Amino acid sequence: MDGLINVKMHTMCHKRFLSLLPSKYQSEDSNKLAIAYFSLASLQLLNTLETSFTVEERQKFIDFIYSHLITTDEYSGFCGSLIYNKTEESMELAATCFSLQCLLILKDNFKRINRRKILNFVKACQLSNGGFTNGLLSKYVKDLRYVMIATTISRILVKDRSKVGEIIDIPKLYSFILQLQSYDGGFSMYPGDESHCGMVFCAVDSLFNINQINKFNHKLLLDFLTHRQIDFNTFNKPEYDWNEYADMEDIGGFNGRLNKYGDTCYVFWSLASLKLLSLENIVNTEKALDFLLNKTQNFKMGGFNKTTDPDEFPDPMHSFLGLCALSILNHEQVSQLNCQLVIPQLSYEHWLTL
Amino acid sequence: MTMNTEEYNFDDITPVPVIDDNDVVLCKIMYTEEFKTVFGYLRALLLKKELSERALYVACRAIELVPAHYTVWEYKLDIVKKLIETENFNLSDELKWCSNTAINNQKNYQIWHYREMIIELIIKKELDGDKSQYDLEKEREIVGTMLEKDEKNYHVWSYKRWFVQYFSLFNDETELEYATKLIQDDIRNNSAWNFRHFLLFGNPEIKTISTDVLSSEINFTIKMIELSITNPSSWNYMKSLYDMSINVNYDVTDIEKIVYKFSADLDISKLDQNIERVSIPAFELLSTIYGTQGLSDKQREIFTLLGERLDPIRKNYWAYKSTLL
Repeated sequence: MDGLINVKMHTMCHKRFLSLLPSKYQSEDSNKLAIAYFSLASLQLLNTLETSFTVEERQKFIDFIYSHLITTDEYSGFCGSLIYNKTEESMELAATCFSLQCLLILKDNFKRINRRKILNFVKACQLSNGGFTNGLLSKYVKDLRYVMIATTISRILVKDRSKVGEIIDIPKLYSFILQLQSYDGGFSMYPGDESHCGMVFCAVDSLFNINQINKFNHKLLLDFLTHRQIDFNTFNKPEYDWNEYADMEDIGGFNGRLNKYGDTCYVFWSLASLKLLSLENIVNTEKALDFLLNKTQNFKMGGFNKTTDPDEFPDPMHSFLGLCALSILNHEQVSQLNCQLVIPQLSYEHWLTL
Repeated sequence: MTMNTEEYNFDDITPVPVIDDNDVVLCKIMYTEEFKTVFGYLRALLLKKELSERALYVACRAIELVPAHYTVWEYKLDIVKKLIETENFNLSDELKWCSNTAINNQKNYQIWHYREMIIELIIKKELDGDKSQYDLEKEREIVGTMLEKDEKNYHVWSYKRWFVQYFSLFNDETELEYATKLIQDDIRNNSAWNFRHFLLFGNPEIKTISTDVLSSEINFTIKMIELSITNPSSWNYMKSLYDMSINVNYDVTDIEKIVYKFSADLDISKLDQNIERVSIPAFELLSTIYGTQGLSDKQREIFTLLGERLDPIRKNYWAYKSTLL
């Protein structure tokens, strides 16, 4: 293994996700803009976005994304799919975040965006406990993921980080996030739930976006993050022999929770959290690379599988997060990622010019 | 494709076509005819804000197709709230629908938040707001069924956590027995360990830690560690008990003993010959104990041992910990 990836094959994989999807993706219909974001960002990371699509095609993508925009007298936001009615209750924070990220990747100038109204929408989604819901009517979805999404939208639209406090009640949000830290140092979806590495990234990135990341002690958090990297050696052999979730192929990979299988996305969630703390090198980067390149990368179809199970197919999220992880690990064929907004550095630089 | 069934007629509704395929230039999903029909009618009913049995039927069909659809759940709840006011509508049927939907699609996590709402409605409308009248067994049963299929299902556990909180079941015997049983079934089930922690220490209204609980948990965890000395879940739990004990000045001698047994008591130069007694997490907790005792030189030795021999994959981390001393 020379450690190189087949850029052409990964590009083909993401071009497939961006074109026609079989009907089994119907259940993901509301996450369509997320799929678009994963794959557009992937192509940019592979430096093949502009060779894959013409200027006209990319303009059509921009127009398509804007076709999801809903604006009322007070608010503005995107809906997740064109199956929604263009009414106020169809706006959601998640689709808004993915749309803005797509637009940045496509180098849109944001001229069609009403910043004030989108920020009004974000503001209206903050709850009295400091957390966020996904939409104006949403009673159900109110976990940590929407906090990351709300802070990311605010960062994208409010350049000056010190002014984010005009949109978000930062002290309330800070205590909301901190109460989600569990006894093992990780963060969970709701207070009392199990630590989960995806939630850890949501917490760390949110705290970073609201400029509070250095306010609390990282000691337990680092312990949780570094222990996500899986190893089986002579000194913990029973863990391999007796844990039904153990797999030798997982060595070097990361799991999201204790005693679970390794998974491509958790390499990213762990590494990206550490990167925001400037400590991405305290894990074993060589073994992490080995896990991604040789165990979960899909050699036949491009992209990345979720786990080492050879019967899996690559999906848009894992194929994107695998590349993101490679980027943090300084893989020479993948360009730089900005972990704060989770967009390619080039798109971040475009954002700086807006 | 028609939406009409033996029970429901939609002839008066003009469906709002889902999408003109030509408008979609990114991630075009090949919708089935069923999908186009259901969502065509859902859109029409949503615009009419129709709250009826047939609308409930369409909402259920839509949820089966797209559980992540985020406005249909609110719509369904609005319909249910209307139906219980006007007609002979049984909320327990709604609960049954929740159970069946959950069992048939384990990845449908939205269903659990919806179930919470339905339970709150039942208590409000049928039990005069008296939570104690609610049949808790029904909830224990569905959670049990789900966790038998996947004992680490995050959303089911999150629902179980809501259940304990909503019905104030902290320290509850039945719940504690359940946690113990699941840990004994699979000592590496970290979700069960976390649930146990929540049951005993997670009550947000109780700020002080009971030393009785600490004492019995230390004993329980020692037994679990003896059964499997390398399991990180039980050691993490022990680490938390240790931290809490230090905070409330509770005696940590028993914890120290079990830690020493699988770390400091061993001859460091002969660890390879004693593999069945070596525990990496015990050494990690040993470093914490040395930290509490102010023995930073000894702590550094443990970090070196971990990084060089016991846990080399985290070599950089253990070296980093040394630099913080």
